[in-house]
Amino acid sequence: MGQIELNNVDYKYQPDTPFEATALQAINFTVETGSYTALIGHTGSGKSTLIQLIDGLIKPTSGEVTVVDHHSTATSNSKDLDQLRKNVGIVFQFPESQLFEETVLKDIAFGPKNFGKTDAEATAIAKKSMALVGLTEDFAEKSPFDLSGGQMRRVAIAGVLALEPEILILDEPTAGLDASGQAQIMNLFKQLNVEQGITIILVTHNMEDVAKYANQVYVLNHGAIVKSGTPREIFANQQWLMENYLTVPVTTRVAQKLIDKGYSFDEFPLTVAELSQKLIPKLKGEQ
Amino acid sequence: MFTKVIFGRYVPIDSVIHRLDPRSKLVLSLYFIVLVFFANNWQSYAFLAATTLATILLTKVQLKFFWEGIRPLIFIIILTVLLQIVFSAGGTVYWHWGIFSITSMGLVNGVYVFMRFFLIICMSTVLTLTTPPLLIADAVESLMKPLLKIKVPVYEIALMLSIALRFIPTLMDETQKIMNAQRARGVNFSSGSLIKRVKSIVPILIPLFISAFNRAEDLATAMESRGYRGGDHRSKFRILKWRGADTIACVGMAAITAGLFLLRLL
Repeated sequence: MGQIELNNVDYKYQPDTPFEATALQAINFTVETGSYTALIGHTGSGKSTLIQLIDGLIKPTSGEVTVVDHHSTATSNSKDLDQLRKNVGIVFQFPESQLFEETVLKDIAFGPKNFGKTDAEATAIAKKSMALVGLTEDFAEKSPFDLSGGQMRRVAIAGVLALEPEILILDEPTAGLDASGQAQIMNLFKQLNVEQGITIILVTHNMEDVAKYANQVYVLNHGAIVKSGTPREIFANQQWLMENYLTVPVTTRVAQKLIDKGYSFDEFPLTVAELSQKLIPKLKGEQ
Repeated sequence: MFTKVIFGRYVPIDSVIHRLDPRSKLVLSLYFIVLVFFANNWQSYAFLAATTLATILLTKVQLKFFWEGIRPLIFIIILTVLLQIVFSAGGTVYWHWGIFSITSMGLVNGVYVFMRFFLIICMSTVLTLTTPPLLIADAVESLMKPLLKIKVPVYEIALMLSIALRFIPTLMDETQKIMNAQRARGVNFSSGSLIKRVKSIVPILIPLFISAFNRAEDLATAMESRGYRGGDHRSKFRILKWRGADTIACVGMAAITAGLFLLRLL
């Protein structure tokens, strides 16, 4: 039994109307405590719907969603769904659109206050979250709307981290950031995962990130899970990925080309570090 | 949350009514609304109800879906009707308390008022169910053209109307997204005291306004950079064309008018 468990879940938008559309069908999905799961698939494959189900923002049309020890089914009421939300934090796509307070500090403290923290506690957590995302104290009293895009993103992410979630869901958290910003944010999430044991679910189109950070991958297509496994298993089958119009990390592409030319690896390399480690002895040996 | 109400929404299927020119649909439904006020006995109301039902059937939208969509509005009508009943006098008095009374005339009037509202809502729903909002804006523009002569800024009004209509679904999506983000941060829109609920609107409204203004600015820049100039010299992508079916629809409406005035004589 994992920390998050989806059991034969279906989800339909606007059922029983001419606009009815099936977003997810027969989803079985398990995430273990402390794992780092990547969710990949095309736009419209149902990734966003799946994360909304996990956070109890919507309830399944059929099947059961279990998060820690709370459940949501088609007959759940909004109280049950609220329970699900307590353990989960979501960084939505372009999360800076959730900012609304007068100051950065107030905006970050908004979430913890909603979940019953006192003003003093919330402010302390907010300061801690600011430091986590790399915002200095000078930002605390600034208006979030005077900041640059990258800074606003950090404020929004700090606002989610301030909920102190056990499970953190990230929906393309680095879209639109510059390369160094992307790396910083992604390293922060990995650090939270390793040091504090926070479970992470990452929705992304960036396969390098999947290869680098995730230890479990689910591939969604047309509302169904079509493949799951470790990144190594998923990326080893390049043929299949190409057929499904998914890209492959540059590293594994290089590795595949080398295999085609007659090299062999004992284990398929995923990251630049792994690939170079495997190549160096080979190159030295040939000299 | 906005999924059940179909009032004001377009259902993209193909039917005789869908294919009519938006101008004829707009004018005929406005005309029908006026016509409803001419009905004065149960026969004429029954006749108008029958024609409305026939029109709804012609749109090929499922009756059950149509009914579920307008049902929320029925409660508003019933409230109005109840007020009408208890405050109007005349005929036999059945019940009386202070300024309130239920009389035979009041009851009859109540039923008529109900029928009027109901028919008007049905017909306007038929218009919006079968006509994309942008075509309604085009129809308004086309029908208002004579007003250009008295310097009414018809093109600008039509542009404003179509932009407003075009952005309703976009803003609804945006609202849903922001609501989700704030709910994930622990805002609860469906419980707590009234003051608490009103307060919980602020974290939605501020981001929504900001994004709407940003969007408006982007749209204005995009239009200007592509050289937009409103007015007469612009050609149209969708050209409105009057067809035989539109003439038939108008003749049909004339027949309904004749029928109604015959029934009024009863």
